[in-house]
Amino acid sequence: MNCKNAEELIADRELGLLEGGQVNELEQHLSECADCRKLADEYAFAAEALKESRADTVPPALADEVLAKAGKIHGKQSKIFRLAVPAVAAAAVLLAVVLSPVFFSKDSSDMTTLQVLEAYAEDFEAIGMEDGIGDYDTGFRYEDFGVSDTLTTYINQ
Amino acid sequence: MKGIDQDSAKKFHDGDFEALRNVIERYQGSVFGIGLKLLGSVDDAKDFSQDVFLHAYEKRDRYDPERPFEPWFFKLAMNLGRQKLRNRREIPGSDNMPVEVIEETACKGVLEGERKERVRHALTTLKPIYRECLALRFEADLKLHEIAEVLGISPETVKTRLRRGLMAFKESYTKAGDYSELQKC
Ligand SMILES: [Zn+2]
Repeated sequence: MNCKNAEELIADRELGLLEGGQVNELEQHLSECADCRKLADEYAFAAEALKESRADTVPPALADEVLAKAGKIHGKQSKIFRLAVPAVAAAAVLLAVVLSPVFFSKDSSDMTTLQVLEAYAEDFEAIGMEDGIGDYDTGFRYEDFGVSDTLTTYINQ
Repeated sequence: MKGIDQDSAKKFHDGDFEALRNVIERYQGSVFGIGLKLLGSVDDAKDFSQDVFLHAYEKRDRYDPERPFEPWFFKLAMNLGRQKLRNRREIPGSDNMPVEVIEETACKGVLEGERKERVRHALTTLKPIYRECLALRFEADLKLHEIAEVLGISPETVKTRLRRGLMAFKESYTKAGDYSELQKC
């Protein structure tokens, strides 16, 4: 085993991912290599810090605050509310369209009523998309937000 | 991972308030910890935690009560985390994490809180894909295949990311000069 392989196993060990035979392999290398022993100490130290930093200090009011807010949601999620949401949304779109020349004259002066309506429809559609939050966003790529996702460098510059 | 039992999960799905309390009590530590590791500040982690539980409650009918609760729940949490990172990018000048760099401190003055800040700061130098995996491993105690399920990637990719993430964290946390100072504490 070379030192590069050993480093991977050292990392795996701290992550709790070492498999059966690898334990002995790693120990054998460590017994013969002072550099890797030093490295192993550093990994143990870093992993310990990660574990220690576990959230042992959750803000005490967190549960109560969430429950209070959830209570409000609970109240709102009545049948009437479910029916009212689309109606209110539709009314808001209409109102916004009517008022858009007043409030958004700068941006929408060149837009036809239909275009304005379409723009609002897109916004509402975008809001509606939040419903998809339970489905994992597999299309998400950090590259789209300026973060490199290459496997060669793993530290943000 | 020791999660809530299926009976509680079903009650949660049905909108039972006690079940929601169970969910919060069982997972608030993990969720808050994920928020800290992912977003890097206590305030953001707190907002994140509130949002996760409220979204889970709002979207509870999307959860299939016949299936395990955790993959659904952490999937939702990680999506919210990504959304928050994404929103952050949209604000000019805020593309770096808002954690202050901790000045070099003599060992004597390194308090527990400061050490945690150092950890958080070191985490912010990692790419989010590594932070995600480390957070799910260290805060949610998920196994490889569970993280894979939550993130929609293969267990092999999870392993690679965890490994690289820990290597990068170790580099940052123990960077020249720091390690020997920290070690004394
Ligand atoms: Zn070696």
